[in-house]
Amino acid sequence: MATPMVSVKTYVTVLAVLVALTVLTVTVSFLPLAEGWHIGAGLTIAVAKASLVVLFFMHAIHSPRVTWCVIVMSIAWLLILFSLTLADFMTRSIVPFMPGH
Amino acid sequence: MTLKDALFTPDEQERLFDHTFLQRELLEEQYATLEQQHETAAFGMWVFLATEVMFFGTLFVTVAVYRSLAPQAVETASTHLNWLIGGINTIVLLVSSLMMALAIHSAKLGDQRRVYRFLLATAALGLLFLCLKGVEYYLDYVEYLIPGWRFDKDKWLAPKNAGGDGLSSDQVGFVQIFLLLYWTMTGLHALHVTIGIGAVLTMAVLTSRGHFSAAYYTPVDVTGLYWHFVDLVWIFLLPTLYLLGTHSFHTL
Amino acid sequence: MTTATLVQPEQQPAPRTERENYLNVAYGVVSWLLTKDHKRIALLYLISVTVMFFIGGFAISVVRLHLLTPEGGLVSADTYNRLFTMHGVLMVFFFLVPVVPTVLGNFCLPLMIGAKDLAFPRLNLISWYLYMAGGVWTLYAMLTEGVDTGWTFYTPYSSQSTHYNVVLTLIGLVLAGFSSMATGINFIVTVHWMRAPGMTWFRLPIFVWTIYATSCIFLLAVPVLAMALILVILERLFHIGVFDPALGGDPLLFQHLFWFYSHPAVYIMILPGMGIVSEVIPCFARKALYGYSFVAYSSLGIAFLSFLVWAHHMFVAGISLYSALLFSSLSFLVAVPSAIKVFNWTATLYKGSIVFETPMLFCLGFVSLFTVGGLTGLFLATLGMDIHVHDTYFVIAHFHFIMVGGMVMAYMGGLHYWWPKMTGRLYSQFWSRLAALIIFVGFFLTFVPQFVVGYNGMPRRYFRYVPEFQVWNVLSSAGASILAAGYVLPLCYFLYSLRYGKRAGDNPWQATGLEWQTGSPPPRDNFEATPVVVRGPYEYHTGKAQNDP
Repeated sequence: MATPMVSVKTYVTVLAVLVALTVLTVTVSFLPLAEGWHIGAGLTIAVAKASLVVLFFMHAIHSPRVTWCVIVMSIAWLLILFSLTLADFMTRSIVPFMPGH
Repeated sequence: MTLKDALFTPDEQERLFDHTFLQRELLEEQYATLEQQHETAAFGMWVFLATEVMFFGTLFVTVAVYRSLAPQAVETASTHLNWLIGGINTIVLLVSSLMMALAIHSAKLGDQRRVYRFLLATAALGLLFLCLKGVEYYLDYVEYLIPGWRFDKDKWLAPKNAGGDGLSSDQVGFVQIFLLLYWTMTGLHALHVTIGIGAVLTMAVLTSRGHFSAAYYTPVDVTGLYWHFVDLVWIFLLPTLYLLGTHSFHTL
Repeated sequence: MTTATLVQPEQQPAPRTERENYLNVAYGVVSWLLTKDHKRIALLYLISVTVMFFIGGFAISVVRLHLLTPEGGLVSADTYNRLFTMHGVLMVFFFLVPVVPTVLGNFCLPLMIGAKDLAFPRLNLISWYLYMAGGVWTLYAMLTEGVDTGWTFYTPYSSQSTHYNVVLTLIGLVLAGFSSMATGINFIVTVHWMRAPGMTWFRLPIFVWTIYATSCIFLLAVPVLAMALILVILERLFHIGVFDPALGGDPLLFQHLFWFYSHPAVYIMILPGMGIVSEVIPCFARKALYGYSFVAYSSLGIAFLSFLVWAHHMFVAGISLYSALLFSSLSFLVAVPSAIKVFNWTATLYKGSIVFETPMLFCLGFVSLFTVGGLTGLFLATLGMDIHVHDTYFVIAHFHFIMVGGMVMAYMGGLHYWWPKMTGRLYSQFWSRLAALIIFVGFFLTFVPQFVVGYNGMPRRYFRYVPEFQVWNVLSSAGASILAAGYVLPLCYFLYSLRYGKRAGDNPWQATGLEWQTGSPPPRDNFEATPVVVRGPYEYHTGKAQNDP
């Protein structure tokens, strides 16, 4: 299989960055920030770590385009589940739906 | 004389193994080339991982919903979880992912000795993860953090200056829900890790028997993808479960 | 064009007797239960889903008998609840969702793309075993004590209050869910990687496109349901209120997660049916499918949009007003790709050389009944109207028009179309056309009265109703008995054809698809040699097959 290969050096560098990001995410979570910042920071760092794992360890960077479609679709569908479900819960306090009122 | 020959007559062998579920070939019948078989198997694993994203994703949504409905209760509950073990376990899994990636790298180069060693390292780190998890679960047991089985409602209701968490009785329900989600998510993840360790060890055994080569290492590659996914889930579990309440530690 | 150019099947020369094919290549129980052959697995599924269909049908027959009088009296309220639950659970999860993908999809997909088998034949067999495990498990739960929650298992009744065996039932459903996921994975990978040379995406038969879209839905929706059901199981076992308001939970969260799967599930049910119709209509109108790329893209469009509309099942459950507005608008949108397909089928029929063989009769029935069902769906998507008709027989009539008038008719059409290919036998044209007619009449009589009573306010899932509705209920029950007869007939003539039916040639319908260019029944490896595809799937105007050089 003549697939292009990721070098050992790249793998080790990626691990170093991942460990650093882990330490960062734990540290940031201790800081007294406003609520939205904590969620935002935690999510951003986690997504960055996940991207590194998917791109390099799972060699998505060298995978065929159809694999990219699968990755993108999984993320998209998860976002659909999240956004449309939370759309209900987070807009309830604005005007509740009460037939007859 | 193989095991098959010892157990079955040629006639029985033909009936049982010819074109049935039990038949094993290097290049399966429906494929034209080994390359097609490899690409197909890897793609199949990616598609399976998409289902796992939705499977775990449902639990993440549930946590998100309850975090939005009862932020204080959920964050208070999260403070009781062991972020240190959680953090260490994250690093353990990340290193095991590196070991797995290096195993695949060696497989591509045909270096079977290295493949074997890296696979064993991956499995060993996986076992370390499970051991640390066991310790963590034991500590949760000691601290009465198992809703529906070993849970002390009064401790959560007691005021803060008396060593409790100062929650109202409505909020205790949310605490129990959050803890159930914690046990479900980490338990399901641990189950996946266990299956992964089994797969990795199986690959190690097959490698030691000379089953693979640089031309054919498909099962190892596919196992690698699964193992990295298990790591991915944990990357998201850490902030979602363990780090929700840590910002309030300075006030405790 | 007054005469059909189709040669009647009986006039074809008799094929050589009993070539080696997938049925006679190996005998014995082991060769069936351990088979890797997608065609044999399709037949295993055929038997299982048919059994489930008749058990589910039996349950609702008792219900319809009970509903002949306003006070009921045939069964107790409790038993009534368990009967309609059994009907819903078995029909939805063990018949409608799996039937076309696992029976016709399994059989035809590799043949249609020119492959020897699916990508993962062993996984295919495991799918069947998972289906059987789930089926046996759920049947055991249903037939011993039963469950009275309805097939929707709404919490907190299902998770806290009911004393029936919810956990047992849900485990069976989770197993069946895993079976669907495995099938979905198999089909997607197969369509991507196992196509014959020359078989580009836009030369694929529409049936393959719809099976592919269905498999995408399997992948993305089933895991969410599986997890939601597991949470209900945990809630029941540990008495924690994930979905119970008394213990802090939110019952609407269950509904969100449940319908995230169950709405796309109804598209899982209908899409393959649409695929069948897209195969049958061109063949029996002797005309290429009008607007192939529109029909192909609309299959993907339906699959995508189906995920954005689930909360239209929850309009009166207590979701926020803004959320309701959003889902109502999106639900209108999802009707568009379905309408596109109906336009294209109609345009295919226009100026075609139509032959009223049995598969065509069923598919014509599909187009008309599905259209009615689809239009009434728009009534339900309208917020203001839904407030009045939610949880009434209007909803029941709507989805039965789609599921029975649409899906089951399409399945019958497909079964009648591919039966000669699967078994190498022809069935009686007289009895099959009669069955199609009886089913259509029975269906109409059963479900149109339900629109009337539903619109006038008769609630669903009630074991009693006000006397004003009796005449409609009697009509509906009468129709149900005719429908039942219509479904038993095919069982009889299909079984008869296995022994006494005339042998079908390779291509009794003179269709152009790849599956018709090999033996009936096909050899184990599907084709003597790998076919090379040179043209599209519906070139009926030239009469040339896909691999005809």
